[in-house]
Amino acid sequence: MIRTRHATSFLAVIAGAALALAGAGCEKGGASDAKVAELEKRIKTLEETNATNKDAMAFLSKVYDQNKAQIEEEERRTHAPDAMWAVDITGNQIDGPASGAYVTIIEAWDFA
Amino acid sequence: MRVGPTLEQLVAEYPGKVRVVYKNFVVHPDTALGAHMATCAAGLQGKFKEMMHTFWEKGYGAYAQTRDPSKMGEANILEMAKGIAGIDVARLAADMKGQECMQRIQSDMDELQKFGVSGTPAFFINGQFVGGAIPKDEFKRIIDEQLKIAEASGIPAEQYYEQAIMAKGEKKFRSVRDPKPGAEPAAESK
Repeated sequence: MIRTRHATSFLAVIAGAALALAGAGCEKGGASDAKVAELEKRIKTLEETNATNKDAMAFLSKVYDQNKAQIEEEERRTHAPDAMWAVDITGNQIDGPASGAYVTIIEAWDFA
Repeated sequence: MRVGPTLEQLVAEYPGKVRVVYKNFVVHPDTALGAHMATCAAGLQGKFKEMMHTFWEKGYGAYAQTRDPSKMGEANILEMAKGIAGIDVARLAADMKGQECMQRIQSDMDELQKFGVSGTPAFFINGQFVGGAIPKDEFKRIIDEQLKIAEASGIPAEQYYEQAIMAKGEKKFRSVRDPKPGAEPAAESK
């Protein structure tokens, strides 16, 4: 969108310059008509390029938003690496000392 | 995925210092719930590990090869149980249908989901989350790190999990995007 706005401003400048030159052309006669025509041609080319880029930018912007949302969703499900969780182990089966072990490994397990 | 043998090796290699707590997380209840009920029921007779080993080898192993759901079914479970020394198969059959084991499994799953567990295997090592199976050496690295912290804490080993993990640990899931409790929330980037 920023690029599109810049491109629009740029076109406005070019168009302004073209009009100024066209005005000057009126004073100086036919030699300037060719320059005006050349400028109009260039403006047209720029407008076409801008229209093409606008579609491409809109597409890229959509892809970017989708990727960003996907990454954010993934992060929302990813455990914070600096966290320590208080998981209750009351009543669970234990291998090793029931108490007196400095390290407790809890396994979430399934037959799968 | 079966990581039980690795965990049992770790318990043996760190005698008295490491324990493994098993919490049920039934991902495929249509096929595996009966087996979880059976291991729980065997646990009521002090035969949890025996039932788990037997089922992994003769029940799940056969199911994984054939995809025959009857291998995970009650009749096969009770047949396998006959090979476990000292187990009362009639009591096992009754307990497999009992409320006690159903509540145990449901309670385990509720507790694990509270902490963001969504698949197996998953581990909490002194409260630190590890998602998925890891090599034995990686387990050992984490255990050694946790042992250093624990032994330097001055807390008796018998009270360590309660005092250092349960009392100070976070009580619900926090994602990598969420601020640590007590920390200032990060400004939203535009």
